[in-house]
Amino acid sequence: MTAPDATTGVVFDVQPYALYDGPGIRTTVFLKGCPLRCFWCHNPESWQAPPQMGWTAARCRGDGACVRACPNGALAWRDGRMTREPAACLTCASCVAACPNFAHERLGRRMTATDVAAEALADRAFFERSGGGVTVTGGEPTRQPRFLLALLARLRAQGCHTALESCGHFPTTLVEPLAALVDLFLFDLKHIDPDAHRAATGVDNRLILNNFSAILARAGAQRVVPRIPLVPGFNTDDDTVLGLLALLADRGYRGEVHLMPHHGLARGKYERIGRGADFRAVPALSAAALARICDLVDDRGFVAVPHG
Amino acid sequence: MNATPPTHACARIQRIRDRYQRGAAQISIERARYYTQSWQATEGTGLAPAIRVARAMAHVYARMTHHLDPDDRIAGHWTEHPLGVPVDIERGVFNGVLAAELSRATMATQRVRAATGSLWYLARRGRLGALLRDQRQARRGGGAALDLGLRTMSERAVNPFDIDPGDRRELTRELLPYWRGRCMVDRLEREMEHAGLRSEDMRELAKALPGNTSRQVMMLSTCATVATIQGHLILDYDTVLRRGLDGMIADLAPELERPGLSAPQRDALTSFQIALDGVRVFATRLARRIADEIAARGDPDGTLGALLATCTRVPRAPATTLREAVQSIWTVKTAVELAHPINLHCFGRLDQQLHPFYAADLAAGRTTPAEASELLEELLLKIMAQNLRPESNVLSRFYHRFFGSSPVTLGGVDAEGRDASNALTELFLRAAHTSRAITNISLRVAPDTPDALLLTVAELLAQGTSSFSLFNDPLNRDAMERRGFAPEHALDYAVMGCVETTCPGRTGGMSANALLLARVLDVTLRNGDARTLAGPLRDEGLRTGELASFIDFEALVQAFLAQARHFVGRLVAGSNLRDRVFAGHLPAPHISAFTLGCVAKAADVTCGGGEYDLSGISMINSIANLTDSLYVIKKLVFEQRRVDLPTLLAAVDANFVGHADLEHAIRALPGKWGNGAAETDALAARLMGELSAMTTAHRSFKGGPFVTYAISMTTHTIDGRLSLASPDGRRAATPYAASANPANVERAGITGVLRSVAALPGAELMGCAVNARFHPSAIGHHPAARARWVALLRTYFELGGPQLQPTVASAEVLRAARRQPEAHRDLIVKVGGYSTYFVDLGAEIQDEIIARTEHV
Repeated sequence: MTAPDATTGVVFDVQPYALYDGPGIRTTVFLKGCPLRCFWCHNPESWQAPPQMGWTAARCRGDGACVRACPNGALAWRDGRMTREPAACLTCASCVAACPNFAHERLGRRMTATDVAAEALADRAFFERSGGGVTVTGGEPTRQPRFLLALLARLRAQGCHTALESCGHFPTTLVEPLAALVDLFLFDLKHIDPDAHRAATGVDNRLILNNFSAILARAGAQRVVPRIPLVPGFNTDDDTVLGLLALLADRGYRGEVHLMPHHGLARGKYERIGRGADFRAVPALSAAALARICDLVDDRGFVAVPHG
Repeated sequence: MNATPPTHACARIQRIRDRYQRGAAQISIERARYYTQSWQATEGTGLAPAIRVARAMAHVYARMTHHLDPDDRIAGHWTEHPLGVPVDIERGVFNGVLAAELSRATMATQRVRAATGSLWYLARRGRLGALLRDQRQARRGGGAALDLGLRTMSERAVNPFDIDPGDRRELTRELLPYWRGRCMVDRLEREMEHAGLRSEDMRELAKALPGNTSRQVMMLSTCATVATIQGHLILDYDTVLRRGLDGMIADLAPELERPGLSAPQRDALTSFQIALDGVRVFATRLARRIADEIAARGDPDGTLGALLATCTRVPRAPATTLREAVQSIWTVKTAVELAHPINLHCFGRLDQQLHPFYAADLAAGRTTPAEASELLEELLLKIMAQNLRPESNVLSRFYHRFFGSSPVTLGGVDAEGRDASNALTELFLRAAHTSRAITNISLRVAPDTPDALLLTVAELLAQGTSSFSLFNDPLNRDAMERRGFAPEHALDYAVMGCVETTCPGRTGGMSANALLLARVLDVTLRNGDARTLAGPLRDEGLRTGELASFIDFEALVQAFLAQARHFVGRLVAGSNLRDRVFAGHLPAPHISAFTLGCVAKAADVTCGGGEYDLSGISMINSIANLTDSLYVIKKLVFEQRRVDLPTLLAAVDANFVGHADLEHAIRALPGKWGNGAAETDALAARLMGELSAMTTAHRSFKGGPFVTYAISMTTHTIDGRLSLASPDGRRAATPYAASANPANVERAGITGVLRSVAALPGAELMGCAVNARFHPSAIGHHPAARARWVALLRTYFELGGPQLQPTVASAEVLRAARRQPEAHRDLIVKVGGYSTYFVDLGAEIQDEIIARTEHV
């Protein structure tokens, strides 16, 4: 056994029995914090890195115990609903303990790499039988680089297959240490046009595409799977899809292309963290449109793997 | 995106299924009438009971009306109706229901009598006000009160039964009155009363209970029930197929000439002879019914002629084709099941028994896979249709029309321990899907069971078939060997009832009794007294100490185990008493004639004639609630000292009203059982191990072992409705966790559930039900995903999981889960690729998933 790693990071979920985040049965670890603000994001609780509080209106029975329990005066009762002043909230979770209806929750746990690895490896028997392992995702896991590398090293040291799902927006200096610890990269590619990419996500795509090339060159096509989130009105037209496929061919990639149809079901998640106004409804991708994109992918010599 | 399009049953199978699903079932009194005639005629003759029973059924077999359906390719129904149920009038489990609930007048009378009895009971004990308060609190906490209703059996919406008015008069005015006090359940009730196995308070409560419900179980205590049904068995169909009835009758004749037979032994063998003759008469008259049909209506397409040819040959002669083999075992099962209605008679390893016939037919070009499948679909539907119960209004709400509890066992290993699956295994799995019969399909999964077979299971699950029950083969064989089954017989095990294992054809009927675990804890916390929603009962258990005497957690556990040991002792005494009464007054010659060992010993199966015998105690209501309750006490009382035991008990009594902080702390406590948490996994394993050890230490009246089960059927719901809250935070009048399922699954997903269950001492149990609900996407619509589901199952079995019964959630279930999230904590769905609990999702995602599953 290796010595415990006390490097800490903020994790917002550990999901067992993930079937679609890499080979076999996997446990997916979600790290908090993301540099992108994709307008279709369905994990808005992953944007900010520190823990934050969530509140579900449907569970609230209005008894006000949370308002009374808050030691910092961050909660108030206004117009028949609970409101939180984010600046005053120290995420002490007094409200979580006070609420009899579990309306409050703290999103994000600060944990050591050792503890996260131990929690994920509880399902080790299932990984070994199925050829699975642990997938680290987010948010954007590279936002916590020290913690991410410590966690991956910990998993690797225990013989666990590792996968990393990333938006690709990280310092290129991370490519080398990641390539040494990650068995499979699930690399999100959203759009080839820098302006469209910036408009939709808040960041330029050049760094992302550079990192994709660097990882492909360093790790080889066997260890990289491009994933395209399919967002109607953004990147599901033939030109955009073909552009992405041309880019893959150009960078020498061959193999599976994962297609992730946007499910547009996150309104409640936005409301839970007090960002209901930021939610943008995106129509769901029709089955016919997905089938057409699968055909385009297959026609260009790749293997389309639709998810969801 | 299903890889394989759903297969549809042919029109004939669909018609059969529709007939079983729609309209009221009919109560048939023919059996009750003819049985009673014969029984009255042999009264006072000095004949042995076994011979009287055999003759009574011979009288039935010779007079009953055979129904023949135009869609029958397998002939033989157990009543004159397309969907009927006979009356077990001499056993009398349903006599009280039928006496009360067939007409409005008797229902009203019964209601008044029951209400008077209950109110008088409560008033005398000064409990009326307290009961109303408890019920009010229970409702406030989300529990549902019982509503008995005044609709008759034919008027009610759930599980209706019709009866011909003339038959009703005969049944209620002549037949039932004759058997009042004479039938087995009345006799058992008297014997139980005399045996002093109940506390004074329990005796009074038992008297005050409404008499209009079925009596499948008798309460010894709030903590312990004894079943009245002795069934749970698999007949020796191998000999039927190999020798035929004529051969079996010929084989029996010289046995009667054996030297040194005692008079009871001679009587036993004679009764077997009458029984075999009776079944032969049943078969002969069935064939004649087909001939009469041909004479009356003609036979343009030759199907009746083919049926007649089959039914003329079998079961009298050995079977030679698949069709004959199926007809042979069906005729025998129907006749014997008519001798013991609603007694859980099951088929065993049908893929093993029928495969030689199927292979020969295929080789000879006599059948095709499609034709064979249609035959199996009909068989599965017919097994289902013989598993319905004329339940009372109050219980029918907890049931459904048919029970799946007459399983077919598939797969497993052969006599050399190698994979035994064959072409019929897969054909049966697909027939289960196509027929949509709810008959359980118990698949024995051995390490070398092919992945392809399990991928078929996954494929059918993903399409919504939820009747599969998967058994860890090596573990279940180990469990049987530990209870004294020879290794070669353990290899041949099959499943009966829900999930109980047995050696088919060689084992007498098993009557499961039950220990109600949360109530044993309740008695422990009250120093031997009990409390239910109907009030307190004094001296139910032992005086194991006041709350203050539990100086640490271990002291409490020891007190609990002492109480449990006491109730196990009571259950063993009650179970053996029941078996003695059956042996003395209602022997089972028809079962004995088809059970190996009975002829050799010249002993009825009720006297231990079978090669093996089983008695059992099921640990219900439940290991999860018990473990979590003790864990809550350990953490909050003994470690964190947040609350003392008297306060916790007061909160339980108050259904947590006025104890919101404590309830919150209980619900927020992490690490409850079912999350793969080491501490509760170890506690549950220890408790189940101790409970099992105190059970298996006993031997039964019939000379067999007492074995342990964890199967609650629907009692966790019924008993839960009558129970106070429990220390694990379960509120009053809400269900306990089912069977071996976790109750409070929070975070760790299906893998956490499976790790916890696998940590139980599975090889100490001979039957354990583990439900896991999956959304189809959690099984996978793509072969690659399904391969992962197979890996999940294999890993679970490698970790020591005994059994898994996956349920695929329908949209209906999902909608119910939205309305009652607490009752559907375990519902697993996939959203955008990851698995999660449905009730944890936001409303809009739930809506989407509900819409998404409509195509399933």
